[in-house]
Amino acid sequence: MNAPRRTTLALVAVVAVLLHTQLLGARQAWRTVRRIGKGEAPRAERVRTLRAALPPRGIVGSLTSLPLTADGPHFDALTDPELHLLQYELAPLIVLKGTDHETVVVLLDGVAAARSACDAHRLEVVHDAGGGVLIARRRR
Amino acid sequence: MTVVALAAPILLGLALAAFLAPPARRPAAVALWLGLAVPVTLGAASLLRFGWLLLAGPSAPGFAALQLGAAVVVGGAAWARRQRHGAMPLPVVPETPAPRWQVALATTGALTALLALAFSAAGHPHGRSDAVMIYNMRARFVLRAGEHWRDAFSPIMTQSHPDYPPHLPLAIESLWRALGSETIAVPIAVALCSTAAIAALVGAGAALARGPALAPVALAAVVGFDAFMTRMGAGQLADVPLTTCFTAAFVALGLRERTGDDAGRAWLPVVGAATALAAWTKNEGLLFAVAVGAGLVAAGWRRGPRALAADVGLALAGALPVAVGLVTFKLLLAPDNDLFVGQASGTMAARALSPSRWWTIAAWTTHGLILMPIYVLAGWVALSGVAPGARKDPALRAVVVTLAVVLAGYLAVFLITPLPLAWQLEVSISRLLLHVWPAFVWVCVLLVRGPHDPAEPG
Repeated sequence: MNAPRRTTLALVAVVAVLLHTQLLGARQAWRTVRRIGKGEAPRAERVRTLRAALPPRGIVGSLTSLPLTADGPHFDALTDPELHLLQYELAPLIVLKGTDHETVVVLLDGVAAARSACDAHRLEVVHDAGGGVLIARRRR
Repeated sequence: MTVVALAAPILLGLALAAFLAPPARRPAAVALWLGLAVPVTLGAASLLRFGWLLLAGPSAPGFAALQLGAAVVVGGAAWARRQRHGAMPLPVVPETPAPRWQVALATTGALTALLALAFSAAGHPHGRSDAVMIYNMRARFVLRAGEHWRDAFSPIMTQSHPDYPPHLPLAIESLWRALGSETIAVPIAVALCSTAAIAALVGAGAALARGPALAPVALAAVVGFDAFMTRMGAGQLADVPLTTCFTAAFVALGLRERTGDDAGRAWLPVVGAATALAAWTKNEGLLFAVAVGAGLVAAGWRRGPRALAADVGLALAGALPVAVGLVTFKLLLAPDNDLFVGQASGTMAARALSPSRWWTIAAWTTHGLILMPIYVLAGWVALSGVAPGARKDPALRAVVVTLAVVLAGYLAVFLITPLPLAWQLEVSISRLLLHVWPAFVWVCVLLVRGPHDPAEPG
């Protein structure tokens, strides 16, 4: 087989794999777009509304559905997507994992779960954005 | 005013890229210049912004004027350089163009990838994981914090790796400030341009190093990595701009050797600048700088110690402006890296010698290589054959040695990481393989028999 024909065959093979993988990727991405269209975004919007009720800067604690584990707070913070969402939406506040702070933002699944977690950690709700998203303070 | 503020960093980036590598009047050379201009634009914007934040403060007026003034000065210098020395020297290659149907096929593949990329960007408009956790968050933090912008690098925010260099966050923040809006269009545009630049660098590099006939297959191969184009490209991770810098350095390294001992030296400042920009993007770039040093030595030792020292000096000259910014950041703001903090050397050695860790890394790497898909490149080399003289090619030697040192460094990091190994591999292996995917394609570009190479004997 001569060299130009080999290059042509290589191109056809590469493009065939490319089209296959990219079309699969496009299909998967399109499903994500449709899922978002069905309303998975409001959680971030609820967190965004907390900004007006929080101080402009400083440090707040956080309570999310991922508990602290034996791997330690650093690893837990690295692997907690809800903490990352809180930090992303509430910057320039610094959001840390745990309830050892005067103000704590809570992000849990549902109002009941958030309220009962506040009771368990002796926190008082001061602002409720609904859907398990709220601001709490330590009970005095 | 907004148009000027937005145009200023772009004009500065184009001027800097033209000063570093004045393009010849050929489509591939122009494409290479544009591909190089993307990381240079982002790098210059973030470095100037960093200096401005430190010296003048976030709200001081005149940042756009500074960028515009710098663009005029550098543009003038680029014009003077071109008048005096001409365009960048390039290898002598067969100029026969690829058949139009091949160009059309590769373009169709690239457009399909663009479609997947657009859907993925729409599905994750704020980016994925690290984009939310680190880069876009830090850009928001600096923009919103005003005079307290240093809080964005507070060591207590361990989840957001405050020791990571601020290239991407400050580039995004400076563009937001220019636009007067915290729009998600900016990080999306940065991610898309960085992704497109990788394709431009490899496709144009192939045309310049081997001739236009090899460019379609190189372009198709580099955009053919599903994870690369759709998940990472649209995910707004710093790994994509990092890969752009890696790719620019690899391509310039290859062109330096292919252009010839003396004329090719003009590419060395490009190698240095791209390498330093990689280090300004992510900490992996520091390892890359060591790897590029090894690649320069591997290719340049045959020219003798004096010529090798001159080569390294030219690369360092290209790296210097960025290195100043990086050292300043590491000295003034960055906390220690969590990979090494509190780790005893004995513990690290015990981890590195653990057979189970080696086994886990091997299993995940195999998984990643299958996902890449490395078999496409193996098929390309098998179908095309190896170019005559490839074994003694200094360009191939430089690129392969650099790539090998990068991969060895990544292996070493996995061996000693204090974090749970399986988790670390799961979240990072595809990103690390993304860094080197264009380099694998570039190795193939330099290695395979081209359509105009002489026939095999017999």
